[in-house]
Amino acid sequence: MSVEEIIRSSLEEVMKENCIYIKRDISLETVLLDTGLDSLGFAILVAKLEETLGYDPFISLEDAVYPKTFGDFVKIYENYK
Amino acid sequence: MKTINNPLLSHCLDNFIQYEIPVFQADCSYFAKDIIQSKETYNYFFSFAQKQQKIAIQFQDSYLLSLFILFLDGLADVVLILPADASRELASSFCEKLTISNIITDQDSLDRNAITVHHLNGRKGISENELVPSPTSTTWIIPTSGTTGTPKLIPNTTYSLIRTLIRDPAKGRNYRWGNLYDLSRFAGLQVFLQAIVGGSTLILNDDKSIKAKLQALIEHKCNALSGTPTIWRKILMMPEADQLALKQITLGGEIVDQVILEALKKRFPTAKITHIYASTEAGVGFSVTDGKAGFPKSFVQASPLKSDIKVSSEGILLLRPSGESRQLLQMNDERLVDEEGFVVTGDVLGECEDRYVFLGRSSGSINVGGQKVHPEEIEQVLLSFNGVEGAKVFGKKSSFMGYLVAAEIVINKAFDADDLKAKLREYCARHLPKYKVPVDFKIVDQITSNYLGKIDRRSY
Repeated sequence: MSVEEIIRSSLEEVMKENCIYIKRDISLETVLLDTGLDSLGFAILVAKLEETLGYDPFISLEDAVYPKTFGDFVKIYENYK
Repeated sequence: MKTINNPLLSHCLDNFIQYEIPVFQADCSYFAKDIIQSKETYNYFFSFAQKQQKIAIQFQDSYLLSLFILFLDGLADVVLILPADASRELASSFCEKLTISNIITDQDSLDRNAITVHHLNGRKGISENELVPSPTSTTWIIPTSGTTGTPKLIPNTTYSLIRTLIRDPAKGRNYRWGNLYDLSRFAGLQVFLQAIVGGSTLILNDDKSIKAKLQALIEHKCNALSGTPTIWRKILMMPEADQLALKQITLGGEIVDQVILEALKKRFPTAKITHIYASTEAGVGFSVTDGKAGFPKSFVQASPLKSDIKVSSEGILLLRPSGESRQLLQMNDERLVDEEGFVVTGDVLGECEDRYVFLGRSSGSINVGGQKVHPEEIEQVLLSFNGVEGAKVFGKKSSFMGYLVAAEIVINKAFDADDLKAKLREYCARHLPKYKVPVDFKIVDQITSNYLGKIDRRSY
């Protein structure tokens, strides 16, 4: 599975656990906070991805940015690999 | 009849109530609205407040709350500031304890759909030489945010609250403060006071959604903003935040890590970034402006803000509030200060070269994005689930929320591990608020305890 696929499946899992159902698909341009997930949801997603992928790119000081879109989010994980 | 003693705050506003009565658009509490809208009701309320000596205030509308703080300063002897979300029971138990018989409130009468953005303008502010402690000024009682047991009631004077704020009205005039905290809590109160005392403008907005709040702040040209690291991370994830032209960024209420400082610097390169260590009990301890997490060891010898700092042999931060608030704390029936006047903050420090960094809470309590979680409460829920024989709840470091709740459990071997975990998660979701549900249940053979026989809850 690609990093993007892993992220998508974890995202779905977190959204399901939080009872968030959105109608349209999440594209790379979707603004993360428009997915319905809040700060806590993202924190949980990042914690889950750390379990699966073995790393958390948001503790890195090299490129301290927070993602705005789903595409930014995926790119941060891909670049960190 | 009393005369007004040392009304430090309304001084900033040029006797705002008598001469500059603001017009309300929002449908607020009639009682409160009337008081500040006509001379007659103002006079009536003035003599009412004069007779009361002790009074409590509780407002959903932060603009009303701020007006009443300004109004009561120097007029009432004791003012209890009730958190906007405090229940009726909690409010009455506080009032009983302090023998307060009247609460001024907009509770139940506020139309929550009518949210209006208000500006409060400090105009004059207070300059350095105008601030003198007065033994007769108002005592403000601010409850701590204890989530288990009864919160403590912490007394402050107007002087002790504004002592450490920047008082340079010539510079302050250029700031337009926004507030992301609840104004009735200590952190929010600090932002309000900084704006007033500093001669700045404060933009008040009670929108519950951060998106709407941010939109209003952009529209009203906010250039100074204070919030927790968790809120700042969220703001950094919002594309519209690019429209914020910030000169001042302030963080507090949670551990500030290096990543958030770097990310803010990158997004708002011209803003001054300050992180503040403060607690309701000890007041403002210190502020750090060098762009690094933690604080320099040199602060322990001499705090630039005159509030003494000490680190105990167990690595716990101790703070000594100023003389005036220390005396009030010592008079309090709860033992909040030691013989030397230090307050034990409960925050554990680690050393990293020439700095101290924050590691967590000595009590094991977990700060999830600014909300305090007591592990014992969650352990009780886990242990009440059929098949769970042992449980340990602790903080798991999170790059987004400071900490998340994690759990280790010992299960009865007769149960299927995966099935039990899934059912336990659902059970927790039904019995606990979202931020208290453990993100991870690790099955272990036994729960480790430390040399005292207590559960070792150190966060990892």
